[in-house]
Amino acid sequence: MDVFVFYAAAAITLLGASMVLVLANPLRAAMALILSLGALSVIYVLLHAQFVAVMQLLVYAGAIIVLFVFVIMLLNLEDPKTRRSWPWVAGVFTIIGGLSYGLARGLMVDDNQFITSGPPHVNALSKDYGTVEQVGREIMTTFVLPFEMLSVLLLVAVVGAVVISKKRL
Amino acid sequence: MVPIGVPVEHVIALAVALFVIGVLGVLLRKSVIVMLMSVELMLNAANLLFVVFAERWGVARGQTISFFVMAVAAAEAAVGLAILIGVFRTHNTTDVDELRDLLEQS
Repeated sequence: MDVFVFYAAAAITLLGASMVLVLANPLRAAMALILSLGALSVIYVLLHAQFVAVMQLLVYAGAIIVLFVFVIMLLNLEDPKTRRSWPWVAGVFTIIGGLSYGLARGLMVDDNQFITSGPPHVNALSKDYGTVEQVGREIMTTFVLPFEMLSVLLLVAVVGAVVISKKRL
Repeated sequence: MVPIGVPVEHVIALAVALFVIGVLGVLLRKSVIVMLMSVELMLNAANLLFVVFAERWGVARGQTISFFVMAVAAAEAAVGLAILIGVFRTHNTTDVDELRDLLEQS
């Protein structure tokens, strides 16, 4: 069952991402992005990352996409001819993607490479793995300095966004 | 194998595909706003890798990092869209082919 849900969510993720790439109307592209990121959060739940999944929905669907949609509507964007005519770029990067996947897979399948040499784990996930409690404790202890720096970064971003987009200060 | 019974390679393949689609979006689209969306797709591909390897090793640290990536993505989107609004105000377009002020006049 989980396996089926994973592959369905993966297909929807890729479908949404391709629609972002293909759809001409930016508003539709934003909706396709929600589809893609929402399906990705399903995958996060399957990977025992409940907290990340909820944050994904809150931050992306709740904040980032709303911001995108606001800007699109504010600027009244609609451009029909919206694509470059570089068909070879698609081919080149598909090949690069395939190669990097092959590289990752090759590194993993060989014995003594990085994945197989890791500690055995899979069945040893702790009971609170991926819960708000565990991730939150880690953020507040090990990563407390990056966390505080992140709040400064967000403050700077907010102030910077206002300063840049304001007509006159 | 990830606990749900999916080979970890398949999750990596998904992340790679997502990243490639993001790169293609940045390279092939002309609208700045869709390019920013494609950047979000690439960040999400990286996040997916963090989460899947966190689970692979049974260490939740990757999830913590992916939380930080998300916050940085939010900051990036805010500033990027603000720049977009500023550019649109002066140039009345979001087409990257028409925004060539930094190019030497020819």
